[in-house]
Amino acid sequence: METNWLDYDWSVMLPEATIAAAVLLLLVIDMLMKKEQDRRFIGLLSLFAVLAAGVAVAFGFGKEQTLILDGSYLVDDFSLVFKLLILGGTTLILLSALSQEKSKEIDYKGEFYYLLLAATLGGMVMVSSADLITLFVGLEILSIASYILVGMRKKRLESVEAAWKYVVMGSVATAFILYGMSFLYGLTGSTNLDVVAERIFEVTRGGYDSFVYLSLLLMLVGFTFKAASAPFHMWAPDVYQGAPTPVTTFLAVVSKTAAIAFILRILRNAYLPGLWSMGEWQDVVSKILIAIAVASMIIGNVVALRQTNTKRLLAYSSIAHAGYLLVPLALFASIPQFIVGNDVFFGSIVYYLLAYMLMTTGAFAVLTIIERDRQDTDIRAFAGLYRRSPWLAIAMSIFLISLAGIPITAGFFGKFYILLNAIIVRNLWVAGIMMVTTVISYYYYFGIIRQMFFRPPTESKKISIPLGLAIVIVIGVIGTIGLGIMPKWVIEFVEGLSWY
Amino acid sequence: MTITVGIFIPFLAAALIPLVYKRLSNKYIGWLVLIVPLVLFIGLIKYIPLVSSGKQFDHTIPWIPSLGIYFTTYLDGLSLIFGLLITGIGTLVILYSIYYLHEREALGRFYAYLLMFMGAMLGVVFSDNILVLYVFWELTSISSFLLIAFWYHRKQSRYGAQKSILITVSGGVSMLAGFIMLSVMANSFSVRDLLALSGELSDHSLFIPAMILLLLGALTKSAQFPFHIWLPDAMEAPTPVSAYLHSATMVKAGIYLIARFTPVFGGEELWLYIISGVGLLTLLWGSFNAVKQTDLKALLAYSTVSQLGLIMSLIGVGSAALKDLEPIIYTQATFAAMFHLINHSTFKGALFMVVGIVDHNLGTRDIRRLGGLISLMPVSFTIALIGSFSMAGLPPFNGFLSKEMFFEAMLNVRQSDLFSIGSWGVIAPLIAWVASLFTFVYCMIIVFRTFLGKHQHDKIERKVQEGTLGILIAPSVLAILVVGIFFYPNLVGKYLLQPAMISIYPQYSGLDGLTPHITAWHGVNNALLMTISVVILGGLMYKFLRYWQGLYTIPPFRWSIDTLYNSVLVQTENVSSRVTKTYMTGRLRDYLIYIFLFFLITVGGGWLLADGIEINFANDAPISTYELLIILAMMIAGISIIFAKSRITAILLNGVLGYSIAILFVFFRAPDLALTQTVVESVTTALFLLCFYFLPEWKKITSTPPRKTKLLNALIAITIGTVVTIIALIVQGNKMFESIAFYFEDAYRLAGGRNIVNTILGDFRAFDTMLEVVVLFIAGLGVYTLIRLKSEKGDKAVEDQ
Repeated sequence: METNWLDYDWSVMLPEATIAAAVLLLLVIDMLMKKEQDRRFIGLLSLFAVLAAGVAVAFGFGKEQTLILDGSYLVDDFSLVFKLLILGGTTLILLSALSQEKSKEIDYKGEFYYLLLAATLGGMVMVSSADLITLFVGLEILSIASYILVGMRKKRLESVEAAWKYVVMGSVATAFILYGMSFLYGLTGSTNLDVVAERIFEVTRGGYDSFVYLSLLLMLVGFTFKAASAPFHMWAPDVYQGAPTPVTTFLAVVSKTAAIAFILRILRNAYLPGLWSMGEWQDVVSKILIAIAVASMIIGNVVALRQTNTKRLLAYSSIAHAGYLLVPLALFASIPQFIVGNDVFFGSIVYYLLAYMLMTTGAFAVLTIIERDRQDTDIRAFAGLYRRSPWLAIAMSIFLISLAGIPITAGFFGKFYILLNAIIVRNLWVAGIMMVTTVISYYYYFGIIRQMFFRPPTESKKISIPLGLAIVIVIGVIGTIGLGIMPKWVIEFVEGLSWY
Repeated sequence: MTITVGIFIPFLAAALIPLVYKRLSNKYIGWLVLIVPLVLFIGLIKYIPLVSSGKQFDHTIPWIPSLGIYFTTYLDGLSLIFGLLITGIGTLVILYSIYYLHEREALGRFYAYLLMFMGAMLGVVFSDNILVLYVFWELTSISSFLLIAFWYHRKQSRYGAQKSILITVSGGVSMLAGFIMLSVMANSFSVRDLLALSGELSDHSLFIPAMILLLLGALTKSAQFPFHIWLPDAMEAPTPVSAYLHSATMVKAGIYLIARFTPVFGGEELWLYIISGVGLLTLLWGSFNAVKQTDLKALLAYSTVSQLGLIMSLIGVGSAALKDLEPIIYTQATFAAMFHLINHSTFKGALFMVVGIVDHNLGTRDIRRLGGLISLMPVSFTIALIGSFSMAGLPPFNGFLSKEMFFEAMLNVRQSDLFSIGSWGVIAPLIAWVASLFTFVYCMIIVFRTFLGKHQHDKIERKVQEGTLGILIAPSVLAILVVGIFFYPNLVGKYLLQPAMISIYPQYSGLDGLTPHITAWHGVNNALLMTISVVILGGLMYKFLRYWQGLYTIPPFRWSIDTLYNSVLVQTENVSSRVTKTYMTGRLRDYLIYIFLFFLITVGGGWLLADGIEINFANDAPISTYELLIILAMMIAGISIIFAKSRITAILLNGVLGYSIAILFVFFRAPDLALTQTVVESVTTALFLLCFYFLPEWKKITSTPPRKTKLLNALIAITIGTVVTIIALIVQGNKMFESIAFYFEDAYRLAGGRNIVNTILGDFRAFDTMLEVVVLFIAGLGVYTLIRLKSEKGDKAVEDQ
């Protein structure tokens, strides 16, 4: 029977519709405004739209999963959780960006907000896709908006360079994803993930396994690029450094979350069921993913040791964190009854993403304050922060300690959770590498703490903290510590969701 | 319940300090802080009779129930000893620090860290849940870090703080991994559950890895060889901190952990070998190196290292009780360990405090500048004498008792052939004896170099005077304990050691000799002979120290692990920068090369290996001459673009490529595609030309890249092209699905048109085409706006910087 497109339950797209409407509305408002007028209320409106979308997402929990648009758009607990993460990250970034209004560097302040919203929309579409085409459209909405956002400070050489590198490399990565998708389509004759999943089994058994892997590998090239994990993380340090700090935060938090959701979706919905029953998953795919995770952890942490620029350092740290995030992904099919146990693995990924979001946005918010104050993002700009602004230094220490994975912070529990899972499935050497690299990371995180506490400040002037950033930092601190002390709230919530 | 509250009291107090600090004079803050450990100490004392009568206490708060993690506190004999040490010594140290630290110091910060440490340490010993234990464990490392760096303006303080945290926290992480393995094995995070299962775990494949990881945590924390290097550098902390954390409590956390887990691992031979071996080595190395120190605190640090090794080796030997038929011989070793643990805290605490007073009053603790203080500081001298002689193992001090028991335990190792190594068993008592010689020598150095000899007025800037009454209270209390325990050792034995022994050996709790009666005089036996020979020979060695001091400059004795540590740090940074320089170059070209190489290796290499290259032309349509010509033209155009000298040429050549494709579409009878392609091509070419109008001039690259780079570029480009072509051909050769051609055979009948493409367009894709046109329209509008925008601004050049 033909389904009329009016019959779909469109209400499940309310969050996306809210953001899309906000983008269009703000675009028009911005166009009608005079050049000199203050654009701040556009930011406030965006914030409002994101919060409204978040509320709409939150109301979606507990309902049956809904598939609309001819099976290409799926609203289930998986997509809702990731949408909440994306919207949460965007909220924090908007709050930090609102405080940056005064800086003269960005000419097009209105554009910043609706591009950010557009990118967020792309992320939301990505996590809700049940079809390769929708997935790709979401990915591109996110990517193209990000390319422009990176180059927002267009009078700065490093910003332009960053945007250029990002566009070129990002396009190459996109091409790889598209190439991989086209193979998948060619093999299975469908772009719908469920249909793909059904056919992959036959195709693999029919002797076309090399094509199946070709499509997967090509997509992985693109994915590792978008998630900034090894081996295609190279753009991250330059782009993170060149982009305006709120945009850097967006790339580190929202983009990465969407990319992780992307690969989770593709792997779990399309490849896993077919390859699993043949044993191919355990033999090949799992190993590829482990290799990516291990390489990310090692490269990210080792190279971060010698970084003197905080933004670059955080870029490498984000590469390392992508590695930690991939560990449960790589291992979640290692236990015999993966269908039963994998909510634990998803739980650990979601928990870690949440922890990562809180601590990273917090750290970047502090960095924004330092950048405003010193016009510098070098680690030395943190010198003597404890003397000048003790609370700020303590907050930053909490974020760094959490990033390093030291108790009792959210970052610690995230890592503990992943480590626990790795040991449960007996992947001891992955657990070992995770531990060793974690220890290495202590060194550079403590480098910043040492600057803040043990170095004399170069000036004694008080640091002014704008309201928006203060809110972000407070949320970050409360979240990081709160999740560290009371991880059960999130863990029980996430594990209570239906992952299938 | 009360224990749980007790753990949190110090944290609460630490959190309150910043609030009261500003309102309170620095004079009183110490006294206020003093209340905390005192109350806790008194509270714990009340548990002594209860625990010694066999009671245990626990209290549980659910923390993360879904993972089986509960916040459970548990008090038994073993944890009670540590709890008493933490609060008891804590009280004395805070009392001491009130007089030791100047009012101008950042006292609020100091006491907040110290209280935080106290709470964390109580948490370590009272936690039943291993995850909670780990959390507190790391917290002790962090507070130790903060306290060592208390005088952070000193470079040495920062170095020592960093070293200590890197080593102890790394150990902590490995301990965490061990804990997780244990919890996976036992399916529980509770220490008591683990102990209850102890016999069943040893066959598990994770048993040995878990054991080694756990030991790494314990050995790093307790500063055992080769991880001891952080402890001497930690002496940069204020002396109360050294006395408290780095001799009495924190460094004993490792010993606590090993004692705690002895029932689980004790039956394993490796456990015994590692602990007693590392312990003995540490004992020897620490005592040997202590002798060459000139800084009194560094000397005490090495002595602590060596004494911890002594306790460690005893616990290691004691674990043999779980295997042997005659457990009593070995339980005595553990008994001695626990006894010495208490004794060490008393005499070492006293010594640290005295050295602190000397340092405080004279402004130096370099023994080359000290001497003759006996008449000026008689009380300090007495306390130092008591402490040192006790450490050297002389009566009538408590060190004598435990040292004798230590010798006996080591002699037992030889007699009962514990390690099944025959005559090699003599090594244990031999090491014990040699190490005791050095111990005796440095103990004499502490007392006599500082207090006897000639007072060197010229090297001391300040007027020397005895410490104030207040500062002397704490060390005096400890000195009294040193003597008191010697005379009433069995009080300690009955009320503290016996419950602890039952905690460690629950299965032997009914055995008579588990807590032997301690006597100072037990007839002339080998242990006593060893002590006497140590005193005589040690005395001689001290007398002739300068004749054999040259030994320390000869290679094997000169070596230090510090050099290794420093070079590891430097090397890691070097590797990091080398990776950065060669891999993360920041150049787009390199990064693209990585991506392409990856593609080549995985795809091309994978296919070659799998022998998957199968090209099948059977299904392909014949190629006509026209098609061939067009393709040739495209190839020529494509290659020429690379060599184009100006933008216009490049654009036009690009246009040739596009229009050729359009012609190909015409050949294949796809007029709509051809049309679209032509339009798109025209528009893009026009747009390119338009853009270039605004761009700055195309600068010739003056420095042409070296030939090698060019060749490499060409090579990569050609290989990529080949691989992609091969993939395309392979794909063409495979027919995955039924041909859809038969649909079209009915085209005329169903759609009324001979050209299939037209019928498709008309019947199915009209909507698509309309939207395509809309897209083009919007794009055109955008371009138009852009051009208008520019021309309004005039001919101002675009700022491209």
